[in-house]
Amino acid sequence: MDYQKLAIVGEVGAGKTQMIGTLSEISPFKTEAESSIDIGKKHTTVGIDYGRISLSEDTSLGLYGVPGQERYSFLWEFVNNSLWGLLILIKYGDAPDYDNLDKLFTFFEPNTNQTTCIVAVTHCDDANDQGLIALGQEIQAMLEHHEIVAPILNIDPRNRESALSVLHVFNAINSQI
Amino acid sequence: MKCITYVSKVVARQNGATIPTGLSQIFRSARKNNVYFNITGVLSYRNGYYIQVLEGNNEDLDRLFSMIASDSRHEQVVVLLDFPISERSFAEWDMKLLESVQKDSRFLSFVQKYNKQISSLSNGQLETLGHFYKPGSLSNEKLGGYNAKDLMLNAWPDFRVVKQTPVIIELCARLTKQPYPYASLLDSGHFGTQKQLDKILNGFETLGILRVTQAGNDGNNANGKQQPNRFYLKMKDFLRLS
Repeated sequence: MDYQKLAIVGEVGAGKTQMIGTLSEISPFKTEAESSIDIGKKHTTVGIDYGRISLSEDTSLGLYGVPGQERYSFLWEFVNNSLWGLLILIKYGDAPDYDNLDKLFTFFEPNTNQTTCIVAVTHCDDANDQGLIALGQEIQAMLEHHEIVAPILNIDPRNRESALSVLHVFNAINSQI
Repeated sequence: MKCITYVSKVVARQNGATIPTGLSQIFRSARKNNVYFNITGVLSYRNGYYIQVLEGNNEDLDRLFSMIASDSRHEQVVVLLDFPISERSFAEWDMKLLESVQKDSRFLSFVQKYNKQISSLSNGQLETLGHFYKPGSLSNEKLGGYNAKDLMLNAWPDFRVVKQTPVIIELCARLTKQPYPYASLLDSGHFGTQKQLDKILNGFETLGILRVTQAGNDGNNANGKQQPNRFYLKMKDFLRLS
């Protein structure tokens, strides 16, 4: 059995659960709970969301959605082992928590561990081009600080084609390792 | 009316990272103050430094600049130019974010127009300006000529500038891993004709992310003959059929 893991990490409302729902062939196992504060939606992920894509009878990709907040770092530990890819989701429109992003990169160390990493910006529907360029420059500066060479994509986790395009980029990068 | 141009340094975070925090916040909002006070100009960030050109009414501009100068997110604010102007150079832009001032024709026209003022900058000021622009450096810049060269990308391109196609993705994936011989890229046939490949590479070079070195000097470069693994092939099939 050839089984690989894709970790999808992001803050509240970044689109982890949606991304897994769009890609998974099985009904995703969700760990959402009703939020106690106003976060713009009723439920949020409090554990690991899980989905799966079968590529053949004996080959599949597991999708693990993990909260990006540091208080859930015990879950980061759970998924950070022989990853096929690390997808960081960042929601456009909120000022990103760079202290937290810094901790994420420090923990996962994609450069040292040779884990293929992609940063994807979500909720770009109402974004203006200048705002996206500015956000991209902020993220790029953080990537450079951690010596990570990773693409920054704009995606829509609700859209299957957009979600699949992320897998295409992961696969293209991994083919070079 | 006047123009103020300054360069400042991003305040490093506790861990030493220099992140232009707040940049996206500025450009997410409609920059209402600039519109209200009819301030125009450009802003750019590079390697821990900002450069900004501001144009507007003397009083409004001085007031705005004093607010900018006291913003705690940047430090070492060095004013390079502060002089009266009769017309604006960036009249349509309430504040345009430029990815590279060195490669923006409007900024270059601005520099050319005020060459006299720039020439009279002190060595220290020119050094500060050098984080973004080095006078005279453009004349020697020539794109292309990749024969017998190894290529590598320092970073992935901005996909708002470069089209995100499967061919571009495959090319970037190869070039971000290790130096890659131009001849191998061409021979693979995956990236179109020589003219098409050169066009893509020229785009990367313009963005300042392509590193071009003499071919095969260190013997560590890729030869393009590695065999893709089984998972890659299965995923490729899956994506083709999806």
